[in-house]
Amino acid sequence: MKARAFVVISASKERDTNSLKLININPNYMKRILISYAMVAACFLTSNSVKAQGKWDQKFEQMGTMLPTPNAYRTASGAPGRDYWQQKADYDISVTLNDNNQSVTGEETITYHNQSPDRLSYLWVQLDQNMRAKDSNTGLVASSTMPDTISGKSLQQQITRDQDFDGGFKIASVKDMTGTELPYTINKTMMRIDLPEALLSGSKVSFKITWSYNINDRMLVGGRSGYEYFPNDGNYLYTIAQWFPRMAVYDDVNGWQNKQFLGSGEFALPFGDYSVRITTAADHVVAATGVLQNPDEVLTATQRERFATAKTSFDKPVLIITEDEAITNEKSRARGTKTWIFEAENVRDFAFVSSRKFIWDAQAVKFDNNTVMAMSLYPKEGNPLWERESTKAVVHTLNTYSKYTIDYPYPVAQSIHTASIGMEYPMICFNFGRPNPDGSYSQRTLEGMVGVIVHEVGHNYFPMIINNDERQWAWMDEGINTFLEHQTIVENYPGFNTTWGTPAGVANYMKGEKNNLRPIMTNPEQGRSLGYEAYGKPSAGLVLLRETIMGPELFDQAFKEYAQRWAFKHPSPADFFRTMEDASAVDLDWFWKGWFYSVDAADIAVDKVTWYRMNLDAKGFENQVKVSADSDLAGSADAENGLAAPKPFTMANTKASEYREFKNSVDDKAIQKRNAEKNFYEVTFKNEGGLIMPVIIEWSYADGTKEVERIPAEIWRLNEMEVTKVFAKDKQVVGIKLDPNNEIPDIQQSNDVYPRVDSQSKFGRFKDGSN
Amino acid sequence: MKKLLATVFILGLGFGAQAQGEWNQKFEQLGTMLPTPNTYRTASGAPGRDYWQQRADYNISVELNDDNQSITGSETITYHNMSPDRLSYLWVQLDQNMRAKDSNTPLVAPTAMKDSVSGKALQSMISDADYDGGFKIGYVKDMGDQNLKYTINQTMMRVDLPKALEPGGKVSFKIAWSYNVNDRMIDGGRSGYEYFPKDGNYVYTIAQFYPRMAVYDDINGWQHKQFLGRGEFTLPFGNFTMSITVPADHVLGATGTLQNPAEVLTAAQRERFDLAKKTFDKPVIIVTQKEAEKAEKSKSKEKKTWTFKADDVRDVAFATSRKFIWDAMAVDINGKTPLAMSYYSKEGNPLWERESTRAVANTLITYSKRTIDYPYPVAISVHAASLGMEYPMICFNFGRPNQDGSYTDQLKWGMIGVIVHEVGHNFFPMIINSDERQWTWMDEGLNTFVQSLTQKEHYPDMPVRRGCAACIVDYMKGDKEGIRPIMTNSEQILQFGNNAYAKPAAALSILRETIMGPELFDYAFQEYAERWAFKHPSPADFFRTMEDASAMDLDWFWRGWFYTTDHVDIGVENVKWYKMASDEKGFENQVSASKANLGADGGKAPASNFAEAAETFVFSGTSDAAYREFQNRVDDDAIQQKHANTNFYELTLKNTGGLVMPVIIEWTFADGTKEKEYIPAEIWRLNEQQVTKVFAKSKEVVNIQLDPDKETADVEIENNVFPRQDVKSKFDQFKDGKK
Repeated sequence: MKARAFVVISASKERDTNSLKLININPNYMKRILISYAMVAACFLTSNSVKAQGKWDQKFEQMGTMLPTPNAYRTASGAPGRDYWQQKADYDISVTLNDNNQSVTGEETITYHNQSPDRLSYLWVQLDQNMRAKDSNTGLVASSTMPDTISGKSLQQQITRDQDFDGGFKIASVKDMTGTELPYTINKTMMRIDLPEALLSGSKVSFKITWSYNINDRMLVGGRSGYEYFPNDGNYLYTIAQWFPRMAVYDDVNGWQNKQFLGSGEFALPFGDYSVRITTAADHVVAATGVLQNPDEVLTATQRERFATAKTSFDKPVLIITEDEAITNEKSRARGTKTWIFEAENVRDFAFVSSRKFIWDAQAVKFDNNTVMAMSLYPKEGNPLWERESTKAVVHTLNTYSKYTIDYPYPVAQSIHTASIGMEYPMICFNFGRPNPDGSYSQRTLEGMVGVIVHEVGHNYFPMIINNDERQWAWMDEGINTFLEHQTIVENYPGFNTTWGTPAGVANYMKGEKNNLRPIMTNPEQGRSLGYEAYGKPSAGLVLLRETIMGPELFDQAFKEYAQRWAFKHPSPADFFRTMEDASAVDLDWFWKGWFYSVDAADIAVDKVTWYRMNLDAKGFENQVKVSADSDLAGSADAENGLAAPKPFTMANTKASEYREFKNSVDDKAIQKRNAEKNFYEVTFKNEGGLIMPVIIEWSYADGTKEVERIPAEIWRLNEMEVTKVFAKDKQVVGIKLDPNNEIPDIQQSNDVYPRVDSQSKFGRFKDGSN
Repeated sequence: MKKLLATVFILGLGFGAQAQGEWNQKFEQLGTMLPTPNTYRTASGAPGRDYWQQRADYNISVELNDDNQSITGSETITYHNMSPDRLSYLWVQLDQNMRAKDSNTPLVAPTAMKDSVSGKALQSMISDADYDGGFKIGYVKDMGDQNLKYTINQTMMRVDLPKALEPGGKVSFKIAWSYNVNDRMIDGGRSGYEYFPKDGNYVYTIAQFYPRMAVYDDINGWQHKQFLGRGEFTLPFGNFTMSITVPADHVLGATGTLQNPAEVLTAAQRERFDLAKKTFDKPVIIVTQKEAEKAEKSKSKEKKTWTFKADDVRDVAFATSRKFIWDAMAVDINGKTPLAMSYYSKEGNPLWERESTRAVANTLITYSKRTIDYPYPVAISVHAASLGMEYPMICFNFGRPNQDGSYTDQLKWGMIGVIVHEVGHNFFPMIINSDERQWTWMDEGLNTFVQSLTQKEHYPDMPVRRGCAACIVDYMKGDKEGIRPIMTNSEQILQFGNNAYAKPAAALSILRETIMGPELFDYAFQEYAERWAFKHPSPADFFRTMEDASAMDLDWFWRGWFYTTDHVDIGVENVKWYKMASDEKGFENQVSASKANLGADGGKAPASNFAEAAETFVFSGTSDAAYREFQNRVDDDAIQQKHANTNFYELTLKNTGGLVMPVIIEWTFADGTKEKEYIPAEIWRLNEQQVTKVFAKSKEVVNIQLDPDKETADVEIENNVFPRQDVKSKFDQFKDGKK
């Protein structure tokens, strides 16, 4: 067999990195990993499709044991229970960033508080950098295909993996507080530390780890953290995260959540208090999670003064380092170092950035019990876009999210300019959006940059505060966050495209080949299209709930209740599903089943319409008259044809047997009189897509007026495929359109209309021809 | 299981497609199909160490306006938070809103047009009745008269508490409301009024008439699934004080004990009432028909207020009218003496004065024996046209004779049946307080089962309609498209009566009579009732208790009967008759049976009749290898001798219906005698579709009949018989006879 030739092309031709922070964006890479899951899923899909042929699929049954049984840790109402507990991990870290060889060296003391009811004989620590180690499984389990043409960057990154990068943590020591070595076992990205004595419930243990690692070049190998090199001025911009061994979560749902970090599934982390000393080149500017403890040592007097001004500037950002100052600083190469000290309380993680290139602005945001500094750091390459938009976007995010969840509880929220990614950490996030070299930028760049800032700052809520298990459920932070991102854009940026995260934005995806779709309730490592499965579709689901199914009042109260219940705790999907119902009295089990657990699509069709009017033949009322064969056909129409003439029906006297034992009777004459002039439309709806949705009907009347009628989803509860219903209308109907405002991502709109558009035009042509 | 679990087990299809010969895990334990036991509910099906339930006490005052058929009321609810959870809001049920103009109920009801529609049907199809239903909430206030914030979502109202209610705490608040009572003849309904055009009077049977607390529990959090009309009520227990103001000439019956007889009853009535309390053999009339007919004509403008108290009930209801005749008798329940009473208009007589109160008493007696002693002071049956509906201590029942007072047996049995059923509901769900909004079968099914026991005990002549294996066959063999598993929420059930009443009742009857036997069943069933009396059981608690108290593994039974729509169809697929070869050589040298010795159908095709002669098999000596390490030996000669004349029948049984069930075989021998043999359902555990088993019979068998007494609800009895009976030939015989 001959090898196929392929051509190496310039990397510059490659399209921009996806705006979402996905590492392996090429879906082909997922294929092989997914085989075993695909087989299981195929069964699932087949069983659905088999039932689509008229079988009942229990779509309205309660979720029951699909959800974990409530217990004293988590209540049936979706709240933390009486015995709810969570662990706590405090960190005391000293770290040095070496700008000469782009490496990090650190030591930390972790104090782990066992607040569980269980004895722990070992602890698991996450070594995320090992995902980039030479022996990482990530590259091994990524499938790849050989294209006819491949760029140098792609070849190196995806096929040969021969970029010369020695990644991964080098663990120097793991010791107890007396300096005695603790036995540990490293399994890829997880390290088990065996405790000499089991850690009892209610007690704590401290231990020390020292380590180092080489920082990845994000341009070459990608990554949520790393450095960007600027060849023009020879500087680096470091966005540093997952940089210290971090405690894994031990909880009531998983025990230790120590599922390996392969790259897609993000982080599950306990809360704790951090004290961090960052030593870096003396001319670097550093920003980090938390509050700077030693401004006198690291900032100039001018900078401190400007910072003080910013603390009372509620209407616009104040520049603490100007662009001119940053450009000057770019040229410096200090020999010495400075140590920046930060403290952060009740956070689940810690990240920082460091560079000579940073411009820095800040603005204050007022909440009832908290004044927050919204800040941005960016190199000149981000301007003028960043000085105009970044901090403003941070402020809008904090205000809008606080309204829908809880007041922002942390002291700062920072947006850092970072090429081609969007990535979130507590109080700090890294965001793309770089203008052209001449400073010009398109509306698309603006919207992308504002969108990513809102999204990543929004992540302070989901998952940093409402701390879900990202390793298992990407949608719980990405989807819920995308929903509030959408809400923030709608409320603060009129004129922006707001389709992303809405039902309209997900219709094309849901129309796709079912084999390529995964339910939202899929672990991110098995996601086929995480952008939709974890972001777009769950967000669209929440928009549907808010705007169409629950209404804003019930939705907003329930959503806020969820945020309040689970702030600074670890919610699971069931907690979200249950709280949304518990606080609203809307049974949504059918919705979670369809939207979150299946890949069904919405496709509701008007299948048949029959127009009836009462037969007013005087005899008709007293004596049942047979409707003649001719008139029988008159009102009957299939979807292809319009309504020609009404089909008559006879209103008969109510029979004695209909009264059963009652002695009283209805006034048939009055009923007849009341309905004599009414038009009755018997409409048959078909659920072609399988997904249960409300039926929204727009009636167009002969007089040109319209009426929208909303039928709740429960209309489908007895027959999930087809329902028929009679509507009584005073006016004559000339057209029916389902979902006139595109609230539902109906994947086939041609069957939403009656009469069908095609036949209408045919009728038009016929009329024209006859003229 | 198969369809139900498609989404639960991703491998659902695995189960689905397997009816044709695959293994369906029918004997596997239910495992995670049931909720994981915890400290609230034990794995044995009992309330656990930390079991808790909420409590709601009510003080209610209502006034009935007989002129415009409306009710105005105010109440103080005291809600006790016995849960371990802080509650920042409470949910209150507004059931009347199901009849409000903006109700979802008519919107989500499928309807279809016909060529000819009666006025009544048309009106109901398009919700055209001119009736302004639904609660009008006057206020929701705390005890300091501060308005509380509330949000109404259809039939549910969330009351936001200014301060979260802590575990162990309680909170009182007040609600005022009014609503228009519905005309049951036009709008239907479990409560409402009936108008009698002849005398211009109303009979009010009033329920869901006050805002009621929703249940907050360990299973659902708040159980506030909307009331669409079918799924009934989920309610916490509490103590009630209720004052009802009605026209002075009304007679009124209600949940609880009348507190002010001196103010509302005449001296004569009080005297008769006292007599009734001591009369155990027959009802004493407290208001006679004559008195009632006189009252019908009065239309007093005065008012009277009747006050009742009821403890440990989940609800209250009442009935009031000028038209009421009232009788009562005492019932002896192990020394407790509850009053059985009936209220009925003259239109119910003479049927009601003869049967109603007696049926109430009979119900209390049998149910108390099967569950727990009836704990309430009264049990009332009210005559209400075309309805059967239950509330604690009071229920509304149909059964109206013809104009001339005559009635058919069918009407009488129907009336007694509904009374037994509705009075029986005092036990399920009023005392054993299941979640009706979610599981209809837990009260209707269990109640229909005990109803059938009551009727068998007290009304032996009454035809058995529900609660027997044979009575469920027609339903079970129906088109599966029209059948839902019992474990289906009320709103999605098709064939409501069969699904939620008849099938579970038949299943329990089969458990009692055939699978467990009365002794084990009755003990376990009573254990369930005792464990969960005045508590909130879930299906798992019932399933688990029935097994826990009997040591019967019934997971296969719940799986098949409650989670699937499979039916029973077990057939005799083939029968082979063998005898030992008598040839002396046979013992030492194995000889293959000659072709001539095979049954009538010889080779592989299943036989339809016994062979002319038995097939022979060769009895060989036990080989040394068969003894493995043992040193001892059996006596081959003695064994051979013992079975030289034994008939061996190799039966192949096929399960074509899907439900695994015991196999009951009736052998008819050549000498005309019969033998019944019972094979437990576990025979199917290795192969759920087909089993083969050899039976040794000293007598020659001429006929085999499966399930001779129709105990298993087998839907296809033709294949239960061997030799096959030629149904056609019977018909031919009949035809021949006609010639």
